[in-house]
Amino acid sequence: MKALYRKYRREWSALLALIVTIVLFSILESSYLSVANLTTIITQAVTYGLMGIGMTCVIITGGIDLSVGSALALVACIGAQLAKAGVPIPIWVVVCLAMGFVFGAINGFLVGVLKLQPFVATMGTMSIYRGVSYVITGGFPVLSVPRDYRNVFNFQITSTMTFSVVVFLVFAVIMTIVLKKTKLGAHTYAIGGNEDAARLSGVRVGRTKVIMYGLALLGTTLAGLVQVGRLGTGDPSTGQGYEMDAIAAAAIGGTSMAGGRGNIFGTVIGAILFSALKVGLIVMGVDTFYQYIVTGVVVIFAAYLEIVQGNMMQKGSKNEVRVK
Amino acid sequence: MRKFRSILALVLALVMSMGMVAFAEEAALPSADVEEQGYDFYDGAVEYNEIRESLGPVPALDEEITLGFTTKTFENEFWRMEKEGAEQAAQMFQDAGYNVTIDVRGAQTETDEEGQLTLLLDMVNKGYDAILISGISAGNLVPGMEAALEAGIDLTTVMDAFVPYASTTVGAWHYQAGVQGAEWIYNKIGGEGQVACITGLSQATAAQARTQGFNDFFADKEGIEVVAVQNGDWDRQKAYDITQTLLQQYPDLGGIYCNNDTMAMGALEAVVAAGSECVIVGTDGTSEALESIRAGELDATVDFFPTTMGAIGVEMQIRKLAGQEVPKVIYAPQCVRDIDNADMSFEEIFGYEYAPIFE
Repeated sequence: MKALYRKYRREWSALLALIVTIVLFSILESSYLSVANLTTIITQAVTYGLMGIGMTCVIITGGIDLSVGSALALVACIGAQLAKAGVPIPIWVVVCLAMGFVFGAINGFLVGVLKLQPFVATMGTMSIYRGVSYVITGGFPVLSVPRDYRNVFNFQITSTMTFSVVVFLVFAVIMTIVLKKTKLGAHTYAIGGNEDAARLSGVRVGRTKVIMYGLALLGTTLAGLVQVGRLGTGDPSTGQGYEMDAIAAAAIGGTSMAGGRGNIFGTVIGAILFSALKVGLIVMGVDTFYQYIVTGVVVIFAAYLEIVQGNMMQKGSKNEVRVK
Repeated sequence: MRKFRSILALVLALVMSMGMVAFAEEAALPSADVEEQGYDFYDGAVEYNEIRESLGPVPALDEEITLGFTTKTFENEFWRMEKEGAEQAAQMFQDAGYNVTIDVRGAQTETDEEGQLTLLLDMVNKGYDAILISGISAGNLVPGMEAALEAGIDLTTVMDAFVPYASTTVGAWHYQAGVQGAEWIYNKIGGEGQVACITGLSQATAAQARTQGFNDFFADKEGIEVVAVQNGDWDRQKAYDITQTLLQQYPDLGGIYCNNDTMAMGALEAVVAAGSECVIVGTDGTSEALESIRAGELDATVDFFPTTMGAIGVEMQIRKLAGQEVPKVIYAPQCVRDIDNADMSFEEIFGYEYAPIFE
């Protein structure tokens, strides 16, 4: 148990922050802790969660992907257009996912092969993806996507929960397996830890990054398709600023911005924490101006919890040494 | 200590002199009094529909004029329609023998404040006779507007942001839009129940005025409870999320007024998903919202008729160049569009087809 705690202490601190948030809101507003409300929280965590999972993978390589918000819009627009064109559903799903992978792989190519700074490279593609979304739609949202396509990732399970939650959790599990159980995952951590050392020990850095950035953008692709399902619309102006929420979900979940450290479980908790906060503030009827302040305080508080715990762990291990 | 005091005195003197300079400049600005009272509450404001006939024909221009129009981004349909209206109006004037050309250019994105300033400065440098502006914020065009006034170039604001530098503002009456949206909901739900409002960016004055109109309308309605006023950042997904949460908390919610149509469309999807009877009213009158109303989905929107607004902006600017005095604040025609009038044309709704009257 102690070992488990030590290994995942950053994730535990995010979980602790989540529990504190939920308990606090429940004390303040009794209706907060209803089953329906909790499913709403998880459903609303899906968009940031899916994007955050991808972001976590990229941050672990020591990079960042600022293009996810624009990529979300592009995927949503193309997805909506293909759906309206009547592409058979299985092909539609495969094409959309393949497209998302390619958009991510382009980022990975710029960063891993051409050796551009991730911040700069993805800022460039952020602008390009946004521009392409506007060009292919002429600036108008793609409306009335047929119900069959909307249901693929978003059919109703209960009145407040849709299939998107399952998509979210399954993607989280898949990416956890990729990161923890495959060679690709091991290489990803190695690159983020020390890129030169990884290269010297035979890791093909460029190729790993291309694949990892590609896989990471699958999260955003799914988020885009969920959004098409939810709103029945591919909106070229959607997703602006979502990259920051994705980064926040990863950061709250204990992903180190320096790379080499972090995992999906933490990000899932981070996204749910974000959503719990958002729903809670609405349920409480907190004035919008204060919501910004509260959100910032919680982000900082979650990060601080981590440091406090880190210090306690260090003290603990020193004591152990002394005893020995 | 003495040194400290003298520094303090110096700083104070500087601050005071800066304050006085700022005050002196503001007093000289064409619409400083509008700024003081608030654009939506200015006592000299008039509705275009009321002054349309009393304005009389547009006086003849004895020279060739070039107008500039610095709009917000054409990513947004609203500004494409403003552009279209301005260009159509210029065409009407040309056809009537006025020697008018217009150069309409938009900022690259919704937040491209510097880029928009560059556009305005370029128009000032080219020495246009007058410039229409729609600033992204109240502040981003200030250096350009100062340069324009210095060069003797008259300015007209179209829609927003309100700035005291322009001698005339032609735009929506945001406060009234909030009232109109609220009133529509009030009548629809039979004068009792719970209502909510989803607002735009909290710092946007248009959003604040619309929301205030909404709140003021319901302030004295005893059967109505305003259960939430939440910020949706003008974003479809965020409006969806807020609506989902609100319907969760208030299953009998009767109506939601949204500060724009994009959010209204998001809110609508959440209402459909929840199987709720809640009515949704948007703002702007985008083609998406109007189509949805015609299809029996969205309940209503407060339509600002951006094409006509752009045209009125051009007309007022030409009147000013021709020496006529026009009011400082002119609210362009606006009305609620619902299933009953979504198919009607501007002429059918207001009883006249927009066209400037020539001599």
